[in-house]
Amino acid sequence: MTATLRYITCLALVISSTVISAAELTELHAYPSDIGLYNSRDRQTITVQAVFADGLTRDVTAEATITVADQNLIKLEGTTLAPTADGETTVSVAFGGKTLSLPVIIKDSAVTPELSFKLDIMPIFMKANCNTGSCHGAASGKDGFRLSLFGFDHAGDYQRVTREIGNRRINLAFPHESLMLTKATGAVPHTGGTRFRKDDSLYTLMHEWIDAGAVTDKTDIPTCTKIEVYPKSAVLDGQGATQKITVRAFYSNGTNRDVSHLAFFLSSNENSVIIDQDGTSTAQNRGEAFVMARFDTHTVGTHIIVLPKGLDFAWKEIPENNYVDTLLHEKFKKLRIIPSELCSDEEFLRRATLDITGRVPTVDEYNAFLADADPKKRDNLVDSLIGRKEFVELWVMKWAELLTIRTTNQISYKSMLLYYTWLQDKIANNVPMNVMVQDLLASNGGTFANAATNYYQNERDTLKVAENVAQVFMGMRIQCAQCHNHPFDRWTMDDYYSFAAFFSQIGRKSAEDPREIIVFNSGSGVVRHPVGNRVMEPKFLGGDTPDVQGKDRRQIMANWLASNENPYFARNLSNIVWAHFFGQGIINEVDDVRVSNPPVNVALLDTLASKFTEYNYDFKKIVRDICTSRAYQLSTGTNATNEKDTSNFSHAALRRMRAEIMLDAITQITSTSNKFPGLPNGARAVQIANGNTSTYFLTTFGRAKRETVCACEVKMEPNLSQALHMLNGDTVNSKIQQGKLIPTRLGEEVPIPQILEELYIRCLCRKPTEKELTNLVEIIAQEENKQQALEDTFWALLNSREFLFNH
Amino acid sequence: MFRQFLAIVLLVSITPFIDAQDKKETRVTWDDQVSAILKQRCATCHNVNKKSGGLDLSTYTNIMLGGASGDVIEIGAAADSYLFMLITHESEPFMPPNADPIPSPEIETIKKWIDAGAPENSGSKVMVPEKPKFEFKVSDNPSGKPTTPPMPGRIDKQPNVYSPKTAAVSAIATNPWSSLTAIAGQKKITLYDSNTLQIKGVLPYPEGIAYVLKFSRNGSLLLAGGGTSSSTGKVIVFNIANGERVFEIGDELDAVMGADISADQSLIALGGPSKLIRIFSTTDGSQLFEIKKHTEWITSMEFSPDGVLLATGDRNGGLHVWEAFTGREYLTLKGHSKRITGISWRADSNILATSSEDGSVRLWEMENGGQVKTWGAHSGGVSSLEFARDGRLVTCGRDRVTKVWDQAGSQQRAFTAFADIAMECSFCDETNRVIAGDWTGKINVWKADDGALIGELASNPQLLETRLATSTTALAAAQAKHKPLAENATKTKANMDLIKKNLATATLQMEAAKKTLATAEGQITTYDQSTKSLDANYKTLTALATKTAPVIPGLTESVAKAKAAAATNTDDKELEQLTAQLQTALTKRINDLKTTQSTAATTKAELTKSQQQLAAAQKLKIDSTTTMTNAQKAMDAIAATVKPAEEATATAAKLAAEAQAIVLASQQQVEYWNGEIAFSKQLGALHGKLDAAYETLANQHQTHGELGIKAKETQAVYNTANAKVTAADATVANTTKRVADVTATQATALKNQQTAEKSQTDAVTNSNNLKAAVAALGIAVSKANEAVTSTGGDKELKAAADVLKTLTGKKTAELTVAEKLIVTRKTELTVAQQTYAASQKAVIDAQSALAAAKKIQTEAIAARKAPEDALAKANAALAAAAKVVADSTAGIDQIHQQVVTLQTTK
Repeated sequence: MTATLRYITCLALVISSTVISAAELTELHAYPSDIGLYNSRDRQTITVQAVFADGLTRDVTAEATITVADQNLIKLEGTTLAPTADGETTVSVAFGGKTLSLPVIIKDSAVTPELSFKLDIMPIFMKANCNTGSCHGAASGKDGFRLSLFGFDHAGDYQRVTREIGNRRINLAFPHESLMLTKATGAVPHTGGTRFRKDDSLYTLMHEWIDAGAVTDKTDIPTCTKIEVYPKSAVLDGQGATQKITVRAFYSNGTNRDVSHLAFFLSSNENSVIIDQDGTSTAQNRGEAFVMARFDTHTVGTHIIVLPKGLDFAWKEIPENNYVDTLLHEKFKKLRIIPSELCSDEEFLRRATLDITGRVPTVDEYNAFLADADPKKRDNLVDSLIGRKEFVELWVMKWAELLTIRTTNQISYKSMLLYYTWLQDKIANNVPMNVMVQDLLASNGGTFANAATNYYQNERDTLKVAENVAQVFMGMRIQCAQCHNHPFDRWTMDDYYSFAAFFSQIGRKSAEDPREIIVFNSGSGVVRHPVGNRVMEPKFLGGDTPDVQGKDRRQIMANWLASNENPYFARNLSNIVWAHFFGQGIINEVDDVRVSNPPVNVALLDTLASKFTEYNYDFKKIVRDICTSRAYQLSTGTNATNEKDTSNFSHAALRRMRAEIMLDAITQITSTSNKFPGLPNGARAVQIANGNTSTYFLTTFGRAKRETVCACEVKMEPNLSQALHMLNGDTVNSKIQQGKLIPTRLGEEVPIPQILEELYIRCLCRKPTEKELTNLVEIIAQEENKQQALEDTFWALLNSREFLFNH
Repeated sequence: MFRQFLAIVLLVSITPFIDAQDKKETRVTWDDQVSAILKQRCATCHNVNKKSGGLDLSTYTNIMLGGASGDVIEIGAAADSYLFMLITHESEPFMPPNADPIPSPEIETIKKWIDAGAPENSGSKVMVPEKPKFEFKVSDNPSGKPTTPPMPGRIDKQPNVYSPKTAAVSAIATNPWSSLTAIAGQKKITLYDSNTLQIKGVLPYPEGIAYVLKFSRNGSLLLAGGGTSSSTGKVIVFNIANGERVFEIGDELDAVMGADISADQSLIALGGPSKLIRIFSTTDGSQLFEIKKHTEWITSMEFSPDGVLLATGDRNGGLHVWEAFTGREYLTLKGHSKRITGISWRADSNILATSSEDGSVRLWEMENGGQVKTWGAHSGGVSSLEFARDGRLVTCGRDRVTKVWDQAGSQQRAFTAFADIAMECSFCDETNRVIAGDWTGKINVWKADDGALIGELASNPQLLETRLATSTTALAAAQAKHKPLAENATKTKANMDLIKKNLATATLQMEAAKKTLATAEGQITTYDQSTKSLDANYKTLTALATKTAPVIPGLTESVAKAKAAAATNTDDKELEQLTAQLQTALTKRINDLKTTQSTAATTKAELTKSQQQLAAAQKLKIDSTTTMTNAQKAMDAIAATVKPAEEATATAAKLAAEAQAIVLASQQQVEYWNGEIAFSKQLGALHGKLDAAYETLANQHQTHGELGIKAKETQAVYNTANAKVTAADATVANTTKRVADVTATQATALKNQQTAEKSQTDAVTNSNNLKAAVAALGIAVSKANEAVTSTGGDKELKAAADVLKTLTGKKTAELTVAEKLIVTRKTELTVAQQTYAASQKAVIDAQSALAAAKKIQTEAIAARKAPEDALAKANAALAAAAKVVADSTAGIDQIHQQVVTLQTTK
């Protein structure tokens, strides 16, 4: 650093500290809190983070005073510790009057272990982006060289790097002329460009490894058991503020090391936080980002919030209906957001009725609710709605989607119907969700006799079954791990095949009725790992390896899966419920739970999950908690602090009605009926059992085909067909005609303003405004054909965004 | 184009170690700088095959054609060029996509290039002289066995690049007709002798890594295909005799993965990640055709030994056989499911063997493309395959094992497994050895017959200095090892010698003792005998004496008596006689006795002596026996040490000799590597010289070219000047003619004027005459009329008056005509006068024009002088430059010759 630069830096520090000095230093963190140096290569960089009274944090590593107690043991190079002799000592970190003491243990400081391909070289491929799917990680490699995708097969990679094609890739005699290095540094043309430079530690590592003979790993090398990312969270003050992220890996032999130089960093939201590969995260625009480090098979992240510089913010006390509000408000305070106001009674009535029952409120309901003076009327409404059969029907539909209830070549109509009835029965009888899921997953017997077995008839591929179970009941897409370790999650191929092993012993045989299949526990069959062809023992995803000897593997899996031992089950179901009422999950998408897609509010999700467990998996109670929370009752309007918030539920979201509900609403509003195959006339679209049954309207508006378990099956994206169908199609117009509402009212000689009022309440759950009413009355008065005019108004209302969206 | 290419090839071939940046900055051109930049940075997407955005940036023509958005280069204005705006990230889409802008020096280069008018190359106006072409199309017996085994001569063994570590083995080839093995390594290919495993040379391959190595069918060339992954791909052909590059083919955007040279060496095929098979002619380096059929990276290919077919395989298991010279599809061979890793033809071209990552080896017949045989060779995949000359097959694979098969697919042998994936293998026909390498870079050499591991080869040969240091150390070690061994050998030998000497002494002693003993024994025998005989004699004598002695007194008495008797009986003759006789007898007896006694005494003495001697001899015998026993003992003792000493000596000597041999060998090694280093330096120096010479030559070419351009420009200037002179000459000539013409015209006009004057005068005269006549006639008429009137109408008079009247009328009419004529004549005269005046003026004009033209002519001639001189000068300079170029070329040839000399002399 030149003198000038130092001067500038000092100035900058002075300036920044003068600004910061406004808030008092409340906490000082130094990472890692305990340090272990286990060989002469081992280094550990210390990161110091100051937390101020206003919640802001700052990386004060450069300003903190770091002193080593016993300087014979450690050499301090900047903020990095290097071992010199074995022993134990402490490092003290002082800043702003606070001091922390970090214990340090130094072992084998004279031992320089030889570099390991798996531990030291494989991370380079990840760090330098060599083994991604678009590069050498592609199934057929790139430009003649293949690496395993995200490094799932280190033995194979070792072979390919060293021995696949003579001495092309590495040169033991002249390591620096190895193609691995000349390509990566751009010394020779490389389609992938320069990946690192000669002065990078990655270069040094690989060079040293080749120089040492590119030897294969010993069999007893430790494995990385977990990684930690520091700091655990940060709130950065304004664009340009930086926070250094460090990564520490823990190994099965009890050692750990600083792997910041080998970890691959990525940010979930580059609009707010960017991170470069040396681990420096830099604040951009206001918002939050999950900054992740990937090392070995582990991805761990840290939450970083970016606030505008010098934001003037004062939290005002806002009533909290229940824990949902408490937890959300805590987050709002951190983000410096003030939630929107409560919505009106009209809005709430429509929102709750649509969300809970899939219907629009009737005129009577509207009048009754508005007339109700009970301060608890909103809670009462929620309770009454939850008690309605439509509530059950709505959730049966949602579950039917998750269980892909539909007729297929394998599943007869009868089977399907039995399956649907089974589901309806469970939900209608308020069977606890865990019991229902356990019954489902452990089901044995004929698909007629025990319709739950249809689950295994629907999908017969062992791996797919495992994937579906993970996706539906744990919200995880583990498909990636079938072919390679999940790049952005913790799941490895081992995890995948171990989990799939639970489904390796599903027996299927024909019953008397050719349409029926009997599902049973065959007691034999294994799943093999494609790399090495190992037989995989069943292991819970992220859990233990249970004893399955002589037992029904699915039963064991089901008992674990739908229980509080499985940290994902309750969370996932709570999240699905939440998403239904807020338009997006606390983890969004709901079936995309992964390390790199963290919940926007961990505490909230955790609490919901624990409540759900507490409620004995009665999801009606969770629904009640959610719907009676203040958060659910917020207006869609925004204020200055939350106008840009789209993920923290600080205001209500506009949500288009889904296909079935919209059709039912139009039907209900126009006083008409529909006839769907297999259902009586007047049945609601929500009640359709078969995923294969659809109408043009439903298909256009994105009804789930139930072909897959993906939450993306229900399509909410707008398209031109939808608009045209609403405007010109045979649904709205015909139904207005069929329902004969207008002629009836005209025949009843109801005054036009009153007809208009009814139309507004029917469609929008509100009365027309003065201006609307005046204008409409005036226009209609000019029209000779009053019926036509009123029907046009009706049509216009049904085509209005206010109708199409739940708000 | 090809000439330039050759020139580049030659430049490149001898400047492989020179970094482009070291070269002095020259004009930015497409060929020199820009194409390389765009190729590296843009051509992955903007190439002939892919053409992202309709734009191909790989050739000059196509970049100038632009892409879907129109022109991308505004010549002379980089800032307005779309391409430039995109690469500088001034406008979107930023290029290259998802990457930083290309380095600013490169942007600067591109800017300079566009601003300078985007020249294609400096040579587009440069005359490049003919380069000696390498004739490597073999006419006779291309695939047959060469007369001498193709082994390299002396090649530089110094690796251009050294890496302490090895990477996976990317290619191994063995020469079909010799024990030469080529191993691909980092930016180099190393040649070994698979027999001795000794290094034979290092071929620099700065383009990167060779993924294909193939010897030509006759073994004289080595093809190396490869490059830098995702950047450049090239095929280089080396002459293995001297290690020089003879050809450089291909300009791929990624490393070449399959390549081969046809048996007649006329075609080179290559392929790689572009999925295209490209076939080039070796005679001019041009691409003959490309085949777009494979759907994946081409990984392997081979021409059939007869040169008729080409088999190619891809990364997906696609396998096709083509007619080599037409590129027409001949067969599609379906069977392999994964990457084709090996394609090899049986020597007779009738069977094709292929291997694949699918683990199988398949044999195909070439009539209908039927599978003759299929077998699983290596679980996990086969990495490499080769047909041996005798029809066996060698493969290796991911199971880490290298195997030899017969054609029926029966495994003949599996060699010891590597520690990692086996990557490449080859069968050395000449030495019957199998060479294979694995992923860690280890390369083993086995005997094919019994699977014995012979040794290892390295893809990263050490630097010569290291080798020298190693061998110096080894020498020192050997010497250090040798020294005590030599000393020990000396010591043991001395010890042995001493022992031997001692033994000899002991033996001598023994011999002496033996001799003494023998003597003693002889003496004993002698003395014993003599003693015995003497004793007997003595005894006899004693006895005799004893016997005799008693006789004597009696006899003496007798004699005395006799004598007395005789004295008494003096005359008794008989008595005397008897007495005499008795006396004689007595004397005799006394004498005898005396003799006997003396003899006895003597004998006694002798006997005593003999006895003494005997005793002495006996003592001697005892002594010598003792001596002998001792000596024997000593000898035995020594003799026992002799053998060990001998053995020890032999061992020590052997060890010393061995150590000595090692020392010698090490010394030789040291000398060898010293020599190699010196050689490498010399060669390097020569190559440096060559580089410099080539650079100079290039500059001289440039100068020459520039001078050529200048000469042309000067010529143009001269031509212009000369044209002016010519024009002036023509003008003068024309003007002169004009002067003559107008002078003639003037004369005519003068004549005409005079005629006109005369005509006018005549007309006036005539008119005046007529006027007079009319006047006269008028009077006559009036007179006649008066007369008629006065006569009251005299008919005759009236008739006469009428006649007069008529006449007057006639004359009057004539007068009118005459007067008109005067006007005409006047006009004519005026015209004639004007004409004359005009012609006079024309004459003056023409004359002044002539003067002006003459002036211009003079000036033009004067103006021509300078360009004329300049032209002469420029031509002279051009000629001089041409000579310089020729000299430099000759100089280069000389250096080449020096290189050849250096490489061929020991």
